[in-house]
Amino acid sequence: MSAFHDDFSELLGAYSLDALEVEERDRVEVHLRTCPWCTAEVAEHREVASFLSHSGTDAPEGVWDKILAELSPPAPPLRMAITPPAGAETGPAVLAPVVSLASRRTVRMRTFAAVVAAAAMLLAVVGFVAMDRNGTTSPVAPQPGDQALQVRLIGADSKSGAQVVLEPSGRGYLVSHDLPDAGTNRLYQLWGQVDGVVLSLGTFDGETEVVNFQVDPSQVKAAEAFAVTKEQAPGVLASKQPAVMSGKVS
Amino acid sequence: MSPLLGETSDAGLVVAISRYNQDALAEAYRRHAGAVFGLARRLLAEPALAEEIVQEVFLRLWNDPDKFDPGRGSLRSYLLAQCHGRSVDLLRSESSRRRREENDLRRTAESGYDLEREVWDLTVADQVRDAIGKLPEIEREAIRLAYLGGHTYREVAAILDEPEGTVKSRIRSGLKHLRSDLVASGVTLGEDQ
Repeated sequence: MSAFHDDFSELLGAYSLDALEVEERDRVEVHLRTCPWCTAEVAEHREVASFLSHSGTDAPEGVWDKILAELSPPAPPLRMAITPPAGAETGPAVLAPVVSLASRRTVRMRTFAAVVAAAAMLLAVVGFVAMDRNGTTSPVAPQPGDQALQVRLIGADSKSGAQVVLEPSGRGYLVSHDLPDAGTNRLYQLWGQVDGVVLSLGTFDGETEVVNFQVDPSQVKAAEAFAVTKEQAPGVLASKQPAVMSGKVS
Repeated sequence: MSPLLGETSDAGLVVAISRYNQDALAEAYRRHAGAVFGLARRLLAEPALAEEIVQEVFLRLWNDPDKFDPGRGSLRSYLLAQCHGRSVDLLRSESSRRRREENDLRRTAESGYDLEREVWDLTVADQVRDAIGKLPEIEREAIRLAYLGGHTYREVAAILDEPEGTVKSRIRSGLKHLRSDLVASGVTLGEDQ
């Protein structure tokens, strides 16, 4: 490493403790943008410093209420219609707010990579969760349990179809045997309607026979309908397409 | 609140926060607000100012959750760094200067005040105390004055009557010594809850 780099690295301890003058701090921050070694060292110093803090007190009562009052409200829900396939025998025709569980905010991929281990726990936190396209399919559908909710999705020709199974545990899967290839840069997207809200449950291609998803167990009984649409890859927040197949919870 | 939130990792909470999950923010607050308030209170002395810092830190987490990168350390470390930076900014503002001088006087009057007292209730307090105790005095004092006193290294140099370059390098070497001692004693750094 260069002498130039060394000049900055000498400042990193003081920088990490906010002990530089403003001009020095600004110069270090410019350097950090392009130096992963120094960035990593700052993170290490700050981690150590965090052990020097007093952690025995609780924040005073009332502070949380003030924070709560300042929180920005969630973005208003998009709206979409799940349009049943033309000619289908049954199917929902619902107009409902859409909550896309593809991130409503930008979360950097490395953030996601680092929290993969937390994903299983998180599923229950955010309710219905869109699963990653890769690694969410399985070659064989498990046997539904006695208490499982089973919904038949019917396609436009009233012959093709699929089945959604939702276990009381919140584990769900779509079984489909006859969906054609979605086409270049296109894929299928599975949607679920829960308590009036339409949620993306994940994307898959026509070759996939079993699509897994996870649902907050407390919301299983609120499931109302499921639908599959064909979308441009990598999927959409709210679909404007008619459902390839759909079905209501009876 | 989902009962599972209490078992979710800090990194998982931040992803949920990024999806506007207020319960996830509440859980992050429950875990870390005490430490954030404690540090702000230590630096600023005035509870009202410390409360403002706590609000600011958690609102920033709500508004910009992707600023936290779990690849670079724990959520606690991130929140405390935010708290420290903001507190120091406040401390150094002209309007706070007089208050700071008063705080310095009060701290000096406290008998036996040292870094070790700041960590008395951590689950790893013994290891941290031991690591601090092994530091050469100039490293320990330089870190204390910079981190818990909110002084720049130049100010620390003047207080300790040491060359600025020496203080600068001692802060860095002291932090490295602390880290290696903590790791050697089995403390896991950089891991979230």
